[in-house]
Amino acid sequence: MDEAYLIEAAQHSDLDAFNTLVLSYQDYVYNQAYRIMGDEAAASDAVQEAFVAAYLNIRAFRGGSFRAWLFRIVTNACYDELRQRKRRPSTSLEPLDDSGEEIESPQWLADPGEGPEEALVRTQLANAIQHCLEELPQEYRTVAVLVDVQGMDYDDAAQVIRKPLGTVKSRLSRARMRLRDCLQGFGELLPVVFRLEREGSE
Amino acid sequence: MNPQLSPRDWEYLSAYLDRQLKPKEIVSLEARLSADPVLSAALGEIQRTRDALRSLPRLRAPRNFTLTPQMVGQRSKWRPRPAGHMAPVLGFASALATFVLVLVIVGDLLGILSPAVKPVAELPARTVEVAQPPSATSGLEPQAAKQAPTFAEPPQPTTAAAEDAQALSETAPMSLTVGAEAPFAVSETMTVSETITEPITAKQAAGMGSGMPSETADELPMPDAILTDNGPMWNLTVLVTVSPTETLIFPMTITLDGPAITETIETGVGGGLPDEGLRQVEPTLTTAPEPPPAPAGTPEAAALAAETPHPSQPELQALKPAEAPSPTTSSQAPSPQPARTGRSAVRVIEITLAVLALITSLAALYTWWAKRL
Repeated sequence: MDEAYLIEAAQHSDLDAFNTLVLSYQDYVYNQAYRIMGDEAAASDAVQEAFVAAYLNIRAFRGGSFRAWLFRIVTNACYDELRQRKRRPSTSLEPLDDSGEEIESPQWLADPGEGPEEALVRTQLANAIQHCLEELPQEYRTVAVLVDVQGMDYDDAAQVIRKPLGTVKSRLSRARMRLRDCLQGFGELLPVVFRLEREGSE
Repeated sequence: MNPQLSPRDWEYLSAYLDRQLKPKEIVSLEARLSADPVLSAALGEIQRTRDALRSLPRLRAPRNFTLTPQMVGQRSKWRPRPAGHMAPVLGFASALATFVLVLVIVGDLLGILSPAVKPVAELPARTVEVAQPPSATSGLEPQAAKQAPTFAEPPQPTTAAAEDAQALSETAPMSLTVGAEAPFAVSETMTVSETITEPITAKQAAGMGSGMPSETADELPMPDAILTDNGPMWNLTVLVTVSPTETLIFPMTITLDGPAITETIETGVGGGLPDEGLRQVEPTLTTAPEPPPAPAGTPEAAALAAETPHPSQPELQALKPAEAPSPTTSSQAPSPQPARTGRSAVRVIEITLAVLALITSLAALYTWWAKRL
């Protein structure tokens, strides 16, 4: 169904039309939230909050990229959740090793279980990238996820973060540089494909 | 990071990968890439990093995030964000209303806002006019003097002064004529618009406008005069039936105060009837003083002499308030009703401002609270 028609219907309080839009975008929105927050439950909460806020404020949508508009809402919801987490420091649930030291990134070290080798590589690479994404400053992380993970162009990314195009370029460049350094730091833990590519490029 | 490359070089390489460079910049960068292996290697690293990010699997939402009417209703109840832009306006209105309210209350307490008591002459609707009826010549005869009270259209005056009363009554919705059993014939034409119109319903008013005899007035027997130091005084009660369910009772005291007749309606209480007929009326009405004697030889003096049945009988002439310029009556017998009316107006203003301040304060508080969510 035509997206513009659904948006207009939702602006007239047609919840079914809005839910059709939700079903179309929920995977994108959830990916955005998860890549920013790195936690499935928190990402789900942020996505739900974002869709509710989007429905309540959909009359404020004046056209343009509906996906960018949705991403801005979910990104702000993630920022709100991250700020609340900073105000409410919680005890780390990271597991400890035998010496009492915290085991960093158990997700990275988690055994994905038995399965095809390709799936293992993909999982390891995904975990490494997610770990490095979480190491990025928030503003860099958002742009990297928008452009490199979600495949958004610079203009839409600038619309999401409400910054000039030049800001998107510079933040993306710095994010990629830091990600490259982060991934190189994993050394032998890097997935085979990525390591071979790096070795081959050197 | 390759130390040989500046952040600007990395930014160019990143934008080059995404085809975000201008044609001139592309030509310049490609020339450098072909000549600089370090820059070319850096481009390869950036590209692999970007490819790694793009290789991330697209996660599926763990569940559907469709909304239910209940969810939206609850959220809209607790998150009224659109009202946020009204916060400055509501805040200003609240502050203004509160400030004005304080001013009114303080002014009311200090009495500076209460209107000054107006002379009777300025309040025609509150003045009782005493007219000399045509039958005044037989005023000593009770039957002749006793007239059935009417409470409808303005009475038909029979004297020139009563014509003035007629003119005066045009501004009043109704008049009351009360006959009095007294040593002399007394006919009072009392405009009671301000008192009577309040309990009269719109329907009744419509009936009056059409001349329907929807209102009648009853009269209690006129008691005998009580002689006081200031002259005779009569206590009488006028019962006015304005509808089958509404009746007004006007206890009245008529005294002779020198040349003037002061007539006071001490209190007026409708009673003895259904509750909806009860009205509290507390006017004090003062008649205009007797006008100065007309110069001898004038038509007015002749007419007055012809109509006066007894030399000692006070001459009662219906007068317009404008014809009663006596400062004694006007200043010494002020009506408290204007002050009460003024205070009522101040009360209305106070209540209105209080309600406005309360509403705007609550709205501002609600908006402030909603913005914090």
